[in-house]
Amino acid sequence: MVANPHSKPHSLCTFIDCWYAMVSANLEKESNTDSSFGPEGRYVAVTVLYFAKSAELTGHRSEVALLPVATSSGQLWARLLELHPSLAALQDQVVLAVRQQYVALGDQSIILADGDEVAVVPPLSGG
Amino acid sequence: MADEVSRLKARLLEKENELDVLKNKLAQLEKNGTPFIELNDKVTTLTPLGSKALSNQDIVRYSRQLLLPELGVRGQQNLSQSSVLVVGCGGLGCPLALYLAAAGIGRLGLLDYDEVELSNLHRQVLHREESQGQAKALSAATAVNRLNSTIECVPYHLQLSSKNALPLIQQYDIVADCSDNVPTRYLVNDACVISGKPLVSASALRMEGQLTVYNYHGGPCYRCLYPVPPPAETVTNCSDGGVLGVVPGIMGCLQALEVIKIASGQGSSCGQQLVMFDALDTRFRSIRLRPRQPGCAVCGENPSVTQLLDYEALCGSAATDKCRRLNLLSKDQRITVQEYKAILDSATSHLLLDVRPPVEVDICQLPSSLNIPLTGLQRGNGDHIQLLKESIRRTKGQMSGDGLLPVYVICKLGNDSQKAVQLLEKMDDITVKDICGGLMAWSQKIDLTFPQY
Ligand SMILES: [Zn+2]
Repeated sequence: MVANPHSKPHSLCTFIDCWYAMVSANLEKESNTDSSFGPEGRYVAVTVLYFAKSAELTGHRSEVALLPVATSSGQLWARLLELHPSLAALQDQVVLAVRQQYVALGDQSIILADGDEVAVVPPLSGG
Repeated sequence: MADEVSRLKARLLEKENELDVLKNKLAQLEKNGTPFIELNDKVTTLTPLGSKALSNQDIVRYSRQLLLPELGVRGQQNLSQSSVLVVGCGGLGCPLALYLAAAGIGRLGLLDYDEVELSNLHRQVLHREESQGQAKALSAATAVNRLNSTIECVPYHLQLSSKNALPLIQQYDIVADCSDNVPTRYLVNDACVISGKPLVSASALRMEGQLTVYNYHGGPCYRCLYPVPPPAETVTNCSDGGVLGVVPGIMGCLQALEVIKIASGQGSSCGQQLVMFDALDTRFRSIRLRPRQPGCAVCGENPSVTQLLDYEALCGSAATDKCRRLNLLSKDQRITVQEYKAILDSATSHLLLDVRPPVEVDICQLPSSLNIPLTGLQRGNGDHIQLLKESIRRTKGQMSGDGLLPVYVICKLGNDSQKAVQLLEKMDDITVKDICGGLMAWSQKIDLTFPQY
């Protein structure tokens, strides 16, 4: 059994956790001031990953997009369509995932944070 | 007494059949030096797999996996009593079949309607150069048999259809979807839901792969995830999108892993998970899926699909990965390769526009063609449009008289060229037509030395 490289002695671990919490709180403060505000409230920078056909249609495999913090899955998809109208070809044929979790297109509410990952995954059929 | 007589008669018939099979096998072996494998062109009734203890030979063969507490003797026996139907003996099915046979699965159904071609061999690694033209199912069964002759292999040379899918799938414990087209994916899914079989499904294209186990322990089916089939024109297949051979190889191996876990009794953890493989970054991601959807058309509470449908009609495409032929233009907007040859021979001024992507132009092209990819025209790429206008102006300058310049659009097969004509037909100073059948027709009918790809 190989030792887990992430396991640390308990006391050190607690120290690092505290330090990490401090740093990330500061980062969050900074990003609060950096984030833009729009009609839908605060916006956050989210990484959007495009797979299979969606990468071909948008010309990107990933991009950083400013998206509203509080939104719905349907609005999220609508926002991606605004960025890339060509994605309309995949309407109803796509899996949308937020933080690697499936979201059904509709009024499911979604809270986004800076650095979150949104994935657009159309099916592949080749073999 | 009468019972006993008919029972004995039946047993005798059974033994006679067995004798015939053995005689055939022997004859084949004596004639070709290769074992006889019967290729089925229809669904046959299979005898149930019996349970038997591991032989000493089995213990030696499987010793390295018998040592795993996760498998053990119990798991190995479960494997030997399981049957798996592999739908498609291509890039996914080849490695899958190989590992299932190696691991000692009891019965392996190998289904494919197609024959082996040279362009398959970079990814369909069970087939050999000598197997070109042979049924893929037979070629795969022969290769699998060479690796493990103790398992039962049932090759089917047939197209899975609404008629044969249920009687076939009902005879197997697990189904693996290794197909290469959308209609077959919906057909296999519905047949698995209707007959209650777990479906270990993988797919691959270009530099990406996906894997999910459908219809398994309360997880979703394919339709729960994709209720509506994609419009045929948005689907890219391996023959026009390309695929790096090792990518379906990796996905087929993952499929084998999940099948072995299910068959041995350990269970799969992919029942509510979409595993994505990104070969460019060598990275796996997993998306947590929803459970089975109560509103699903086939596995839901009130299913509207209770028997198999016409899946080619449902998906608007044929159940193959061969390229489709679009018909977007009228007859007078198209010319044949023979007509284009005559235009070249008569040295009539014209512009030949090749709308394939640069990666295909690198493989081969006709001399003096102008390459502007269709995507450039569709996106209205400024540089591309400028280049096109410039070329039209220059070529028109060389023309005697001031008529319209004929522009002929060519691509690989004559689909993209039609889309380009639709984009260009409103342009000034030109008449625009496409060349029917594209460069592949040119290669077949005009210049046999021009490469096929
Ligand atoms: Zn379903």
